[in-house]
Parts: sequence; structure tokens; C-alpha cells
Amino acid sequence: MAKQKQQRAKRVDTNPRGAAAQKPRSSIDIPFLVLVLILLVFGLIMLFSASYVTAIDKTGDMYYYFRRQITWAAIGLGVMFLVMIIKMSTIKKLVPLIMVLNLGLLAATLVMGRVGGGAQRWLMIGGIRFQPSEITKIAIVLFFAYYISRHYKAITDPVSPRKSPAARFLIPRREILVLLFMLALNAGLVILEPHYSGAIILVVVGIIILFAAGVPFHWFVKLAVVLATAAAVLLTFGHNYVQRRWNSYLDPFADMRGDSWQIVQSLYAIGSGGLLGVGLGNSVQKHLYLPEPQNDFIFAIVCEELGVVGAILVIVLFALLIWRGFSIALKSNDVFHRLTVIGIMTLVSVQFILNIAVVTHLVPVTGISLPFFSYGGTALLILLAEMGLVLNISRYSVK
Amino acid sequence: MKKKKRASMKKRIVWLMVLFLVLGFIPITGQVVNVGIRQHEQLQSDAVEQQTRNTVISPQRGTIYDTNLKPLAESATVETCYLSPVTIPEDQKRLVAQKLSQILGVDYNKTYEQTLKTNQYEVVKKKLEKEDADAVRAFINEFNVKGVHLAEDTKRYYPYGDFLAHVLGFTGTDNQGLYGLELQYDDVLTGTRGRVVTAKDAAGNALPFQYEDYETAQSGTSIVLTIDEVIQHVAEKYLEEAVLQNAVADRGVAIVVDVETGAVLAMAVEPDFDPNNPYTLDYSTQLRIDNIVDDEARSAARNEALQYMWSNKAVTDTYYPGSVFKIFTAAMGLEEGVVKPDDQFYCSGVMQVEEWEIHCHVRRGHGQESFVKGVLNSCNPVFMTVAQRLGSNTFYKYMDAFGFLEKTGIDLPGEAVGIFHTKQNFNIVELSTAGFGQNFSVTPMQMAAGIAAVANGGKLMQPYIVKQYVDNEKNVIKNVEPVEKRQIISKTTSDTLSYILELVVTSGTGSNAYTKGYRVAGKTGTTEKIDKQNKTGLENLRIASFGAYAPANDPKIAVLVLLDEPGGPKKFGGQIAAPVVSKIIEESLPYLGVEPQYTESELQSLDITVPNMIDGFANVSDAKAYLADNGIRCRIIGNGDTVTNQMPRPNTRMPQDGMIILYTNGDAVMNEVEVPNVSGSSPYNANAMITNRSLNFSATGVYNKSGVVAVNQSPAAGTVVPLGTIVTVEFREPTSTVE
Repeated sequence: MAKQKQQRAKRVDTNPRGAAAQKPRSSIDIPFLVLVLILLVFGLIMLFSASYVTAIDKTGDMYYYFRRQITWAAIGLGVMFLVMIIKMSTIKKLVPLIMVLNLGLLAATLVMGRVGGGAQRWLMIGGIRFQPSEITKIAIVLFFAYYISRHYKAITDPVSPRKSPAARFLIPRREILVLLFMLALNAGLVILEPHYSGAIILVVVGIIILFAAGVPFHWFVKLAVVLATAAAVLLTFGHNYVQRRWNSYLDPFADMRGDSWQIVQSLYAIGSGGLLGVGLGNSVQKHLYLPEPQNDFIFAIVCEELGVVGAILVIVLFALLIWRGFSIALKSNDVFHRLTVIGIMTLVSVQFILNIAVVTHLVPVTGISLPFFSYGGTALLILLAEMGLVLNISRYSVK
Repeated sequence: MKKKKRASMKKRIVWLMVLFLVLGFIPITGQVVNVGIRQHEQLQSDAVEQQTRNTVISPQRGTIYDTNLKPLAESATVETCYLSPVTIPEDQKRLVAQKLSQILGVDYNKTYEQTLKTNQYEVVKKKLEKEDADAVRAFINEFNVKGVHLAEDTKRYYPYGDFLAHVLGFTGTDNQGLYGLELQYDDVLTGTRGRVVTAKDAAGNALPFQYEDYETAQSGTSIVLTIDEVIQHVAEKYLEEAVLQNAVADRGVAIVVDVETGAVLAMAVEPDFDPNNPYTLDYSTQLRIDNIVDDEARSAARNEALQYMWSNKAVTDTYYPGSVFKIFTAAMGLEEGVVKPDDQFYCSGVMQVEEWEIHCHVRRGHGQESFVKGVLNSCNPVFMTVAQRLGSNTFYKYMDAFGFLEKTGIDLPGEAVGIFHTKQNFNIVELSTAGFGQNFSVTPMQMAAGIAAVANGGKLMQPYIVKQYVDNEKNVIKNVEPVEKRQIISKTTSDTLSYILELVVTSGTGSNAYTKGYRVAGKTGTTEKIDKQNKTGLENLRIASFGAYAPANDPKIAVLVLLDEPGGPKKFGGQIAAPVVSKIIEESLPYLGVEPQYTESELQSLDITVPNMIDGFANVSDAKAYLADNGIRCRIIGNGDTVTNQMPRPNTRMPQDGMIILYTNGDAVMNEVEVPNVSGSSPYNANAMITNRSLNFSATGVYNKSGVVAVNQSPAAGTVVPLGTIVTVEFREPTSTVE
């Protein structure tokens, strides 16, 4: 029993080079922390600017959204430092539990969730309203990192154990199938809400972690074929909600009343801003033209007030954050650490890129918030916790 | 088999970074630049459009006054009802559409569509009268409706309805001039729009930071016309009467010009329209159009009918001037000395010009006649001969001088210019026919301007209709001075012509233009509408016209009356146009301060004022004695002591040889009698028929000449009237010797 346990522990903590990463070897990555804090403060300022008109209109209190957000930011910072100092091995042990908890919350959402905007995405626990799919994202990252680190050799083995050539071509090995199953299970529950953008992010993150881990390349080619087919089917026969969004993407100015109102108002905001913007606080579009400017479309207000210059500043900050995050991953020599960081940074980049792409009308409108900027307390809390995780891992870097 | 290598995680991570950068960051940065900078201007202007509330303040349009500052077209404040659709709450949209369609009579579906739009300004209805605007306000207050607004606007009113309609024209829904003076002087009348630009949020409220831009509206300038309301009214009244009586199919025109200045004192076209409702056609035309089945054809027919109705025939239509033009041939001949009043001519009824045989209107010919007699007879060969003596070059030169080859330059839109032969094609045949006014066309305005030039001693004045610009306090901003174009003929020629043309009225074809107290010089004209007859196969389409000026010894006004396609039995200018000219002159000249100069016989038939016999006389015999002393006949009814009633009433006008009926029994009800039918009777017979019934007889028109007959009477035959009532009878020459 003891031997078995020892053997298992050895297997768990083995990285590709065989070195174990049990204890922190350096201090946290200061540039990453600084970037996180800059983005957090920047985000809070823009949130206030973007939200006060809607806040007055809806509640009569111009600080309504800002006060909530800053409270959550404070709590989030606390959580970030907490996550930062917990031993990674402890966190790793909690992963299966997090996954189970997550699945439970998803199921609960479907049963007793709150309906909003035609979908059932919200859950109310202890007076706090939040989207369990936010938890699902980090849960999937952690679970993938956890599971791959335990089955690293098998998962990255270029030689398939399958006998028949057909099976070898079509069916990945059991360990990969387990991960795909978990991914499908989580994404499926999220789709049922329905929350397509959440599901898309899950799938993208899962696949990217598999890619980073080193799963043989040909599987990604085959997966791409499958996904492309699925997307085509969805657009043709899918829920008319999807189709409507697609149509509104093709010509937003055609029916400004319907789904296109938001994107047109967003473009007006960005266009009004020009190179230098109309000045912080001076957005006109936030005056009830752009619906909920504090949420998904906050970047449009950034563009209107700070111009293309301000927008590029935001893009550069995110690019630096991601670059710094990826370097932390590269400097780590533990599979679980590395994949966790990759997963988290992928979550941040995909959400960031997709959000900007939606706001600037590069892709159809879908509900993806802008990390650090968009209103949403629990999302910010989880994001900061994720940042704490990355900072924690940065302590294990090898020079 | 070579063993496959495990993939490197570091390499894969580096690849991912590149992937995010290339597939993620570069495209979004590019798109931000694209939207924020490349599409900046378009999007910004679209955004500003939705972000600002732009309220236009309509300027007050200038007033159009007649020559005595009587307003003929003025603007009053009305309101425009508009929506800012995005502001209307979803649950009120149907209510708004329903209520507004009820109050304003607009289409429910159309209004509902408007409430669904996403802009800030949708006009529901313009030109709301106060009543409707108040109803909308009440609705807004009752239901606390958001997004329904009223804005001030102005509406054009023409207080006298169809008066001067063709000259005034009318305006469109945005107060822009569409026809007539409203169009010609649109820039002057319009003024400058003001506007208020306010930034506002999507709910239509002003933004916390104030942005407001205000430009005041500048009122338009008012214009004062040369048109005199009184003379215009006279012209319209008698023209309309003639158009109705003679079933004129292609409208009538009457123009009165001040010969010295070219100022147009009256310009009437009948039938007319009401510029307050310019799109309302007359009943029969509307009926004809309604019966057209094909939509496109119907709408085309409607458009055509409207354009026809609106066009100012006096300046936009051309016609063959016919014999009235002989005034000008005579003027040229006399001025150039190729003919003298006493020159002798012989008319055989036909004249050979090259291979053409051109007839006189009297087929058997006028025989031997002097030039003056030729004018009185309106003899075609005489004028062909004069034209030939002038030669085509000289004739053409005068055509140009009299302004028949150019627009008159009157300040009205759409002026046409007559069509004349080109100089190259103006040969002997064309010259001969042009001599008596055939085979070329002119506008009525060109004709009237030419006649005025003959009358005033030979100078062609540019006709004009606006004499002054004034501000809204009626202070003069600018005076328009008369423009003399050129001297065409000498004063001597003008005087000779006046003498001849007066003879035309006193003893020639123009006798029906005789006007009591005024010497009228004029010329008749009747032309066949050959082009239209050939085109339509219709027969007997004529234009009857009469051109005149008065007084002949000191001309003040020139008058042209033209009746296009009279449908009645009388079709000659001397028959139907001359009486209209006479009536216009008779009422205009005294108004213009020209004292009548009566002849002996006229003095005898002048009216007197009816004395008041009811008050001021002790008894009936005193009253009787008073009347006897004043040479007024009377008849006494009843045997009372005092006069209790009389007919005609005191202080009205009666013929000096008339009779007053005096009632003495306090009769409230007077003795009555039926008015006899005197139509076709001579003045003598008519007088007898009427006075036999103890009615008073008053003659108008041409009554002191043999051969004239009664053509009109008032009251009409068969009417039962009190004894002593004045029956007015109009006499005209039945004349078959019209041209």
C-alpha cells in the first residue's frame, strides 16, 4: 500500500525531464503582477466611466456598478494573494473535487438557474448571482493539466496502441478519449443553457491544452475536420438564435432595431472616437445608445473616449500579459504547472481576442466579456484567482 | 520502422504564442484601426446624427401685397407633429399610432411603422391647425406619452381664395414656392431657416453636458405688387362671366397694363383655382380622371390636368393674334410712311400672293376703301398690301422692336415666347399673312405690352408685377423702377393710330367696346385654331380677342381680353371679348381717377341719385311737387297723407328719366310685378316693355346706336319684383360684320 502510494506520487510529479517541482525556487514574477494590477485599475476606471449613465438610469445611483465591482476587485485581490501562497501540490489535490463541484453547479443551473436573455445561465447562491460556466472554464483547465500530468507519457505517445489500422486512424488512445469526454460533458451542459460562447471557449481551451501538452499533431487535423463539419451543421439547422446572430453579423445596418442595434451602436462609438478619442468620460454613446456599456461592449466606450491610441494601449497590455504568462509556462518544468498556466493564459487571450473581435464587428455578436474591464463580480474574482495561480506557479520557475 | 519522436512542449508553447499573435492580436488591431480611423468620418457623422436633436425653425415667409398693401398671400403659424421613435416605450407604440391616426386622420399602419424606426425624427403630419395640435397635446398629457412632439411651422394662406391665383401661385408643404410669384420670388420671400441643435441621449433627453447651437430664423422679405385689387377684381368678375356665358373651353385671359410704366394692374385667367387647395380639380375634370381605369394613365392625366389648371395662360401660352395684330401692321406702315390714312385700296375679297389665293374674311370684298376704312373693316388685303410695301426686312425689324421675338421679361415664371418665322424663311407669302396676324404666335402678355407701347407714344415698357420690397413692418426696402426697352414709333404715329382705333370702336367692328364716358381705341380679333382643328378633327375652334386702350386721347391703361375656344353661338372677338374690355375700362378708369367725359347724348342718360321721399316732406303733395320741380316722374299708390315707402330706395342710382313709386298707406308689402323678357329687343322697345309695368329701365353697353339688341338683363325675366325696381339691360351690336 505504502509502496503503491510512493510509486503513484513519483508518477504524478514527473515532468518530461524527470525533475520534480515540489518547492518554490524563486520569487513571484513581478512584471506579471504589475501588468495584472495596471489592467485591474485601468479596467475599474473604464468601468466607472462606462457604467455611470446606465447606473443613474436604472438605479439612480451613479456608483451602483462601480461600487460593486471595486468591492469584488478588493475581495479578488485577497483571493489572488491567497491562491498565490497555497502550495501547488495542495491545489493539485483539489482538482478532482473542483471538477465534481463544477459539474454539480452546472447541473443545478439547468434545474434551478435564473433565466436571462432567453438562456438559463445564472445561479443564485447566498445572495450572489454568478455564472457557473465561469467556474467550468478554470475547472476544465485544472482538470486537463491534472490529468495530462498523470498520463503524460501515454497522452504524448506518438505510437497508437490500437491494433487495426482503421482504429489507429480514427480512435485516439483511451487517455485522450477520457479528456475529450470530460470536455464534451462540460461543454454539453453549458450548451444546454444555452451558452454557446462559453462552450466554444471551453472547447478551444481544452484543445489548446492538448496541443501544448504534445498530443500527436495528426489528431488536431482530424479534429479540425470534425469541428468544421459540426459548425456547418449548426449554422444550417441550429437553434434560430444562432442563425439570427449570424444574419445580423452579415448586415448589421439592415435591421438596426433587432440584434444589430448593439453592434451598430458599438461601431458608432469606435468610429466617433477616431485616433485620440473624445476624452475620458465624454462618451456620448454610453448615454443609453449602447445597451449595457459596462458589460461586453465596454471596449467600444474605451475606443470612443480614448481613441484608437487608447484601444491599442489596451491591446498591448494584454499582449504583454500573455507574453509574460507564456514565459512563466516556459520557465516552469512541471507538466501540471505548465499546462495550468497555458490554460489560464489561453482563457484570457481567447476571451480578450473574441471580445474585441465582437465589438469591432469582426465576428458575430456573442456574449463574451472583456477580462479586467467588463462588469461582473464573480468573473473578476475568478480571473484574479487565476492570476494568483499563475503568480503562484511563477515561484516554481527554473532559470 | 523509425521510432516517432515525442513532441516538444516548449516548441508547442512557442507555436501557440505565435498563433495567438498572428490569428488574434494582429486582426483585432487592424480592425480597431479600420473602424476607428478609416471609417471614422462616416461613423462619426452617423453617430452625431442620432445623437443630436435638430429642430428647424421655419422663418416667416414674406407677405404678398397688392399695390395698396392689401395682403394677398400671408403666412400663419401652424404646428408639425413628429415622433422620436426610439423614445416611445414599446407598450405605447400601438397606442400612439392609434390615437394619432384618429386625431390627425393619418394612416394607422404607416404611423405604426414610423414608431418602430430607430431615429429621432419622423414627421407624422405637417400644418396642423391649432385645434388638431391641441388635441395631440391633450393626448400626450392624458397618457403621459413620450416621444410625440409638436413643432412650430408656418402655413401659407390666401385670404381671397381663388383671387389672382395664377399670378400668386402657391407653396408646397415645406413652404417652398411651387408656382407663380411664390416660385419667382421664392428666395426673397423665404428668408433663412433657423435651427437648434441639441445633444441628447437615446431617450431623447438633453445630455448632462450642455451642447446647444442656435441660429435664429430670418423672416422673408415681403413684396408689393403692381396688381390693384380693385381692377383685378373687375377683370376677374367680367372675364369669368364671359367665360361661363360663352362656354369658353380653353380658358380666358384678361390683362390690364399701365401704359406709361408697363406695370401690370390686373392679370386674370379663368377658370381659376384656389391656391389654398391647389390640388383640387374642378368637378367635371375630377370625374373624367376618376373614370380612367389604368392607374398610370389616371395619375398622368391628373398631373396633366393640374399643370394645365396652374399654368398662367397670360404668359405661358401662345396664340395666333389675328386681326388685333393689325394695330402693329398699321403702326409700322404709318411710321415708315408707306401708307397714309387716306390712301385708297381696293378689296375684291381675294388677293393673289405668288401661287396662293388669300381671302378676305368678307368673301365678296370690301370694294373701294381708304386705309382708315380698311382698318375699320379689318380688311385683310389692305394689310397684306401694307405688309408687302414694308418688305420683309422692315417688317421683321419691327417684329423685333415690338418685342414679339423675345420674352417680355415679366417677373413671372414659365414665360413663353411666340413663334415667328426665321428671317431666312420670311418671304412674301409669310410676310403677307403676318400682315393680318396669321401664321405666327405670341403670348397674351407680349400682345398687351405691344398695345401699351402703341398707346403711350411708342415706347416699349417691360411689363412687371412687383413694384416694391418691404420688410415685415411694411418699411420699403427697395423700389422697382419701370424699364423702358426702346422707342419704336413716333408720338405722331401713335396719335394717328389712336384716332383710327377709336373709330374702330365708334363706327367699326369694335363697337361693343363702347364705354360710356370714355374714348376707347381698340381692335377686334378672331382666329381659327387651325393646328388644333387639324389635329383633333374638331371644327369651329376660335380664339376671340380684343385689344384696346383708353382714354384714346390720353391713354392710361391697355386692356387685352382673350377667350379661347368659345363654345356658344357667338365666337367673334367683337361680340364676346369687346364687351369685357368695355366693362373693365368702365369700372377701372374712374377708380384710377380718370374723369369721364360724357357726350351730349350720354349726359342725358346719366343716372341720378334717388332722393329720400319718406322723410322731410309734410305730405304727399309736397313730395310730388318736389319731384316735379326736379323733373322726376312718380306714381302714387294708396291714398294716405304721407309717403311711407318708396321704390327705388333712397340714395341708390336711377336713370334720370325714371320713375319713383311712392307708397302712402304704410304698406309694408309693396305691389309687385313680373320682369318682362326683353332679350333681343331694341333699346326703345325694351324701355317701353319695362316702363309699362311701372319698372325703371337702365341701359348699359351700347344702347345709343341703331341695330343694337338686348343681350343681358338684371333681374332676370320672370322674376317678381316691387314696382319701381330698376331693370338693367345690356345692349350689344349683334354684328355680323365682325372683323
